[in-house]
Amino acid sequence: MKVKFFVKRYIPDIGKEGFDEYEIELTEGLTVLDALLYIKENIDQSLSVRYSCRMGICGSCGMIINGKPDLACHTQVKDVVENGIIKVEPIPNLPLVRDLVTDMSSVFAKHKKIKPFVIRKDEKEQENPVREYKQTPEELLEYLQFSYCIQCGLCISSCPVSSTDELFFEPLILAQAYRFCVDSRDEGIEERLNVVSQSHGVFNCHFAGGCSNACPKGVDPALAIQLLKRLILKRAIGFLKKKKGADIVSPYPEGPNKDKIPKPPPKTV
Amino acid sequence: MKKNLKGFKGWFLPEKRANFERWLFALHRLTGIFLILYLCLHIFVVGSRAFGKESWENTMKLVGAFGKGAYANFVHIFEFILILVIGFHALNGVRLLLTEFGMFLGKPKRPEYPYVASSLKGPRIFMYFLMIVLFVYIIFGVQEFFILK
Repeated sequence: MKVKFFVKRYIPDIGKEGFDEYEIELTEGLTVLDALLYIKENIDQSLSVRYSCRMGICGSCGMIINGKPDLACHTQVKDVVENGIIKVEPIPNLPLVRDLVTDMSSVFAKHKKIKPFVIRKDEKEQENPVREYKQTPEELLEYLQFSYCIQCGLCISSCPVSSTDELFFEPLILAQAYRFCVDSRDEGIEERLNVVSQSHGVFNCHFAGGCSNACPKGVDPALAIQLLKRLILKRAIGFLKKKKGADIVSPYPEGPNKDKIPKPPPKTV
Repeated sequence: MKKNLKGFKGWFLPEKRANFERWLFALHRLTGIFLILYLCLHIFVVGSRAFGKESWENTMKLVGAFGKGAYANFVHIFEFILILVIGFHALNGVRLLLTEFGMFLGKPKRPEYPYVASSLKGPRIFMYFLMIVLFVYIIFGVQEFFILK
């Protein structure tokens, strides 16, 4: 069976825009990314596509496939093909560099603003750690789901707020902000809430839920954003408990005297 | 490099297989814009009272609230649509307010595939309930506007 690929092209250097048509043979296990790479190698070398791991971990190959945002590497062609046609477009709401390649630098800049790392008041201890911080499995579950984010940007493509507001902190950024706010080891909740409660921040989200619907990793950014709003509202009415970062695990107990342990027999080979 | 923003199309035209809340968002924006425009009209009409009794009566004649004929019928239907719009916008607003306080959302958990986001489950059931309220509200509206008229 032959499949027709309509790929959105955009090459600013030569002023090329619009869809290009390619026809390739459908083979067993062919993913959309495989098909695009086949086109690049055999039919049209000018096609630009970004990819890295080919197994849904790196989040480079997010694109719109037949109208639905998904990762090209874990979308089987036979699952999404409609009347022998597949239409591939770049992620909207992000600056377009060329063909299917989008520029994520503005997203990463916003990501930096929310301080995506564990903040401790005792920086000296954090820089020279002796042992790990305590954390229960329940405390881990509070944020674990949100830490699966691979920053592919698919949530941005289906967010209606991002479609008109470039400065909006995208769903993935707000989910990361929440992920670090509820981390039991973290002590920087105030700093992060100050950043995300500004204009273009978390309250610009009106819960369309498109991000959670689009997420290929089961992160549920909409849930994180609503819970982040709750944190801010709680803080506003003075109900937010002051959080103390998790304690450090007590130092290793002294082991048995090594001199008393019998030595292994000498090597025979 | 071009911006490639979806623009207003992104508000009103969700992508394929979009979730229910995404359509609620589109309708919420649409009704919101409608209400803003209505508010301008409303203030214009009611504000005419400030210029004296005659001005008020003339405006009332213009919008046909006390008038008769085909024009009055149009205003009547417009008012009924207005009631529907306000009803939807208010009830969806209630859903948004409650979810902002973290209600109906469920807890974060390990995603097990095939995964449906928990934030799209609880609020949706609540919205179905609100839809029933809206439906009852519409029935009363129809009765008030068209049957008991």
